[in-house]
Amino acid sequence: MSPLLKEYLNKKVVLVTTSGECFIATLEGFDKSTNLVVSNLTNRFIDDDNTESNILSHVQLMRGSEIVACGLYEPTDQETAGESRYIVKAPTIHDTKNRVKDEHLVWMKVAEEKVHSTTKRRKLTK
Amino acid sequence: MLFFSFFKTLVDQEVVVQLKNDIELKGTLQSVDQFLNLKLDNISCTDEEKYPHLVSVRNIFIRGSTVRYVYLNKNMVDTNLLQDATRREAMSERK
Repeated sequence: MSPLLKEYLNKKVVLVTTSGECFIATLEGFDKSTNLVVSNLTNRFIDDDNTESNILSHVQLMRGSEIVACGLYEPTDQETAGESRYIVKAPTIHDTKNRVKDEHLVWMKVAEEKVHSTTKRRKLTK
Repeated sequence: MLFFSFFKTLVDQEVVVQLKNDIELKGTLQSVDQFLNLKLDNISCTDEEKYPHLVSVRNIFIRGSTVRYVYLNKNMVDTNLLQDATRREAMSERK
């Protein structure tokens, strides 16, 4: 259906997921809901403590709902030499979930205040 | 389908896309599909130091569901025409 990813087939792509992870992999297949089959999945950046470019999985299906973006990987000369992938600390991307921290506490407070205000009102009307 | 058509008129123009993970990408709109998935060419990240993930990427596919905003230049949009088209679409749905 969606032919937009056709040009990327069998090429190296950079994948960003909704949980904020970033990978490099070869795109093997896709469908109209952006489910992707990828091979030779590796981390985009290599941390200092695991300098080997370990393959995370040989073939894997990634659910379309977890995909944020998929970009064609065109490494610069310096990067093919394997230099700029070695970053001491891999930079983080936010997730797309837009979660409020400790949201349940906020709603608990709202509920408490509601209880208070209704009891107060009752007292007043009596 | 109105915004699909709308985005099709913006092809080959430069746009800035803000994603829900707060990354902003500037690039030329290459193509768009019915889910409003976007394909941008010649991208650059507005905050490259913070997000170096896409430095060696020039052509990118963005899933429509993860887009927060698409920033457009004012002169790229004919708002009157868009309003007319919106009314026409609303009318045709009512029938």
